[in-house]
Amino acid sequence: MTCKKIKINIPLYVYGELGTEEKSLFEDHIRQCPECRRELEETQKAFECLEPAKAEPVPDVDWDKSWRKIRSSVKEPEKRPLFRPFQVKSALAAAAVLLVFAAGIFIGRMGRRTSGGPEPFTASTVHLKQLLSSHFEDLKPVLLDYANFEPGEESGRIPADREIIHSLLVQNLLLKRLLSGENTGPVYGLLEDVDIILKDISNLNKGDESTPSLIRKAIHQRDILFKMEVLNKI
Amino acid sequence: MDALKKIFEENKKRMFALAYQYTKNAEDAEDILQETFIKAFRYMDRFDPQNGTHFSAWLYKIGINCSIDYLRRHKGKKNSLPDYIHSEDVKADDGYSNPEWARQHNEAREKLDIFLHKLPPRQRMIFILRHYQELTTKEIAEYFGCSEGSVKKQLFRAVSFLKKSFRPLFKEESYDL
Repeated sequence: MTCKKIKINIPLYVYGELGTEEKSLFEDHIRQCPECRRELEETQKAFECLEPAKAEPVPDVDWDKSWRKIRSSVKEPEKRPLFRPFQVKSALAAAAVLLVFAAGIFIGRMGRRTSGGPEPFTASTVHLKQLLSSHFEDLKPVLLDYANFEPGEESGRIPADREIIHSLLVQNLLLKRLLSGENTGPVYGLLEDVDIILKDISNLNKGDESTPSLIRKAIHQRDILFKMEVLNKI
Repeated sequence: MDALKKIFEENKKRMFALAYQYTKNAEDAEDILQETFIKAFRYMDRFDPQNGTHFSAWLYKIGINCSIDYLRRHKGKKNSLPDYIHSEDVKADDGYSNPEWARQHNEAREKLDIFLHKLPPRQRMIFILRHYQELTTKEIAEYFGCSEGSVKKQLFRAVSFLKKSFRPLFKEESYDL
């Protein structure tokens, strides 16, 4: 073992983390090398100086006060009405699309049975595109707010209105459900990314400095806005 | 008792001890404690027991990150001195009958504080986890999601700096080590 390796291993030796063979090699070296021996002795002395601090009791805490603060910051899940107007709109739209989907599948299968005929889902795809486009339009202002967020910026708009975020989450979820199992990889992936970002925004608190920056980073790294633009044009 | 309170009761002491050893300041440690639990409860849905992680380990990881973030956020902004600086020096009636020993003891504590406060936040946490929380380098590497080699290097740097900080004390013959 070289002196360099021995020196790196000194703390591990003192903590008793070296394996039998390594320990034996270490001790052989220490017996022969005065410089490494001195390093080891100094480490042991320094650790002894830390002993009183190690034994120091941890101060008392007002646990109840701490718990009250934690509890008041973590609310029970709200008992909300089953549907809000915005959600009703989304739910109805989703139901309509589902219906068209079902009809598409039915007609498509019938067609194939009789003549090997038309590709299914044509009608539903149009509806889905409209729905996606409208969803992206709803998302855009919120995501742009975060994409342009500057650290240290005192912004009243952050976090965005929770009602809006919840509605967007519901819309996103419905669209994801519609798309699951279909051959829509990039769109589904985008909705997955959006889902994560919306959840982060929804969990954000006022005065939280680091998270808006992380959200901004995620939006940029995952190219969310760009992908939305591209998918909107296809 | 609700489930969240139970989690708090079971883990509060360990989490506070970690934050206190890291900051050496009770007020800061309380802030970190609260931040840790708030974050854990808000992101509870991200805890996946199926990947083999125990809940307390997951919470501990959040505590480590909250402590490091807290220090980074307050570095230079806040004069978070350790509690003992505000209290009077150790006195004979505190159980230390030898005033000279008490003086040296205080000096050692101050050196320790200077040492800890000069370490970069991550290195400081690695040292605290190894020295005070007595985790192995392998366990620390798992918490940080890095290699054991990287933890060993950081630990070596911290200990080298520790020796440098305490060297003046070694030279005092009267300090019986």
